[in-house]
Amino acid sequence: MFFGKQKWDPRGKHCYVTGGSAGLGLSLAVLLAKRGAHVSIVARDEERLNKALAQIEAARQSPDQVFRAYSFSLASATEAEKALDAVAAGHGGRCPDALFSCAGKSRPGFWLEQTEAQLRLCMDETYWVQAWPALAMSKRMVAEGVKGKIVFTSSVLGYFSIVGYSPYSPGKFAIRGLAEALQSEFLLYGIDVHISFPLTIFSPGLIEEDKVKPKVTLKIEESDEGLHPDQVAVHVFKGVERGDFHIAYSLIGNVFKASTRGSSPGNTSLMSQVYSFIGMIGLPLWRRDVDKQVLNHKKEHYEYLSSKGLVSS
Amino acid sequence: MVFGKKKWDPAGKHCVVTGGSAGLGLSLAILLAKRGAHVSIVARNQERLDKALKEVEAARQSPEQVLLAYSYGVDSAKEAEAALDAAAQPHDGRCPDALFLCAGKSRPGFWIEQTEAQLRECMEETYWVQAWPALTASKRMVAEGVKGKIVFVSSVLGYFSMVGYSPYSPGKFAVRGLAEALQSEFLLYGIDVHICFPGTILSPGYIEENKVKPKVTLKIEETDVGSQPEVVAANLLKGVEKGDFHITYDFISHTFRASTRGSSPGNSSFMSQIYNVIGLIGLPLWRRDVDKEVLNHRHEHYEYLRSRGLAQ
Repeated sequence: MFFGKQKWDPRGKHCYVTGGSAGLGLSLAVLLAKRGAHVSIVARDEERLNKALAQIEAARQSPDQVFRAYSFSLASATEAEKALDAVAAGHGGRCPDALFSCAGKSRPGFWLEQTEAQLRLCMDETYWVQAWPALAMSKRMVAEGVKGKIVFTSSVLGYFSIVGYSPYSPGKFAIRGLAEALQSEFLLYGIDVHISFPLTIFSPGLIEEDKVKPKVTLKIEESDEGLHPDQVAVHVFKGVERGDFHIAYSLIGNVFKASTRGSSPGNTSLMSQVYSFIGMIGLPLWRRDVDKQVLNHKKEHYEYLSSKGLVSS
Repeated sequence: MVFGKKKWDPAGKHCVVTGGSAGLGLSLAILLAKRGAHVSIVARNQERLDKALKEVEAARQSPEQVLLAYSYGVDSAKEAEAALDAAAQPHDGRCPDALFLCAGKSRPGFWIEQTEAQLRECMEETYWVQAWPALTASKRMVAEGVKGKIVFVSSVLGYFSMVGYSPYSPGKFAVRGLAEALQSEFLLYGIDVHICFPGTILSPGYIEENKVKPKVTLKIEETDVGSQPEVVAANLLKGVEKGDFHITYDFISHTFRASTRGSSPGNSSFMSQIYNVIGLIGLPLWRRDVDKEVLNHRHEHYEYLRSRGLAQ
C-alpha cells in the first residue's frame, strides 16, 4: 500500500454482483449494502433472488440506496448485455461503477469419465459466465468513460490443481489468464481489475460440489478448513479496498499467490518474499504428500474403472 | 535429472502429432521420424498434409517406420476419436504411445473489440483443440493399459499476459490448469504429462497472428527474436526425453517457469531457485516497463476507439 493511497469506498457507488443470490455473491452484496453502496444482484432463480433481496434490504444504511434484483442467465454475450442494460436502467441508464463476478459452479470428477458436453458445461460455469458480463461491462465503461472496477473470482484451484478438478481448473486458470491480460489493457481505460482466489467456501455450491467429487479428492481435502461466505466476502472486499490485483487470504492462499506470481503486479512486498520462501520449501513437500495419497488410491480406482467398463480387468 | 533415470526414446514408438502439417508440429514430426519413431500427423488441410508427409518421409531412418498423414479436425470429442481411430488402425488398432498436441492458432486483439463468436473461436483454437485429443487418447491409453505420454503445448502467454492477448491467454492458461490436474490424476494410470511453454515461434501461424495484432502489442514485442520451429521442436523433445513436466527452453521462459511454479513438480533444483531470484528482481522491472509502453499508447488508442465509435 502506498503512503496516502486512498482506499476505495463503495459508498454511493453502484455495485453489480453476478451470482448475487447465494454464497459469496450474496455475502458480498450484503456487505456492500452495509457499506452504503447501491447494489444490483443478478442470478437465474427468481425465488432465490427475492429471498436474497430481502437480506440485502435488511442491511440498508440509508433511504437513498437503490437495491435491485434481476433474473438473467449469463450464458452468452447477448444475455450478459441484457442483464447489464437492466441493471443500468435502474440508474438512469448509467453503467455501474463496479462488477463483482461471483456466478459459477464446480463439478469435480475424473477426467477419464468426462464427456464433451460435461467439459463444455464446466467451462461455461467457470469461465464464460464471468467473461460475458466482463465483456459487456468493460465495453460500456469505456463508452461512457466510467473508471470502474471489475472483480473476478478464480480459486486456489486457479493457482494449482489435483485429481478431480480437470473439469474445473481449466476455467479457473483461464479467468486468471484473462485478468492478467485485462490488467494490462485496462491501463488504457483507467479501469481496475481485481481477481480473488478463495479456498473452500461453505456455500450451497459446495454441498452440490461434494456430491460428485471423487473420494480420493475428498480425502486429500480432509484437512482443509474452509470459511463461511461472509468471511470470504470480507477478504475479497478488503482486497478491493486496498487495490490488490490478486486477492488471496490465509496462509495457503498467500503462499500460492507469492509462489506463483510471475510478473503479476503487487508481489514485491517483504511479506510476499517470505511467503514465496515458505512456498519454495513447503509446496514441494505438500505436493509429494498429495501424490502419495493419489498413488495409494490406485488399486481402489482400478476396481472402480473396471466396474464402469473403462478398463479391461 | 535423477541419477540413472532412463531417457525416453521415441524409436519404435507410435507418436501422433496434431497440427503436424506446419510449424512446430511438422518440425516435431520430422524430428521424431529422424529418431526412429512411427509418426502419424493429423491436420485439416489435405494439401498441406501431403506436402508435410513428404518432408517427414525424407527423414525416414528405417523401412519399418510407419509414417502417415490423416485429414481431420479435432474440434469435438467425436472428431478427435475418429482421428485417433484412423491413426491406430495401421498399428493393429493399438493406441499410440505418445500424443503431441501442436494444433492451434493465435488471434490477438483488444478485449474491447471482441465478440462472443471471436472469443469462443479463440478458446476452440487454444484449449479445446488440445483437450479433445487428450481426452480420447487418455481414455484409450487407460483402457488398453498403455503407459503413454501426452504432451500439451501452452505458451509463455500461459505464464503471464498483456494487452492484445485477452482472446489467447485464457486458453493457454486453461491448458496449463488441465495439465496440472492431469499430472495428478495420471499418477493413477502411469501416463506421463508434459507441457511446453514456447515463446515466439517463427512459423506460418506467426505471420497470420501478426496481421491482426494490435500495434501496442507489436511494439512491446519489438525486442523478441523468436525461434525457428526446428529449435522449439528440439527443445520440446529434449524435455520429454528428460521427463520434465513443464518444458521451457530459454531465459525468459525459465524465469517465468521458476517464478510461477507454485506446487508444480520439477522445480526444486538449484537452478530453479536462481531463476526465481532473477524473476523476483527482473520481472517487476520488466512489467513496469511494459505498463509504461501501454500508458504511452493511450492517446493513440483513444483516437482509434473514437474512430470505431467505441468511446466518446
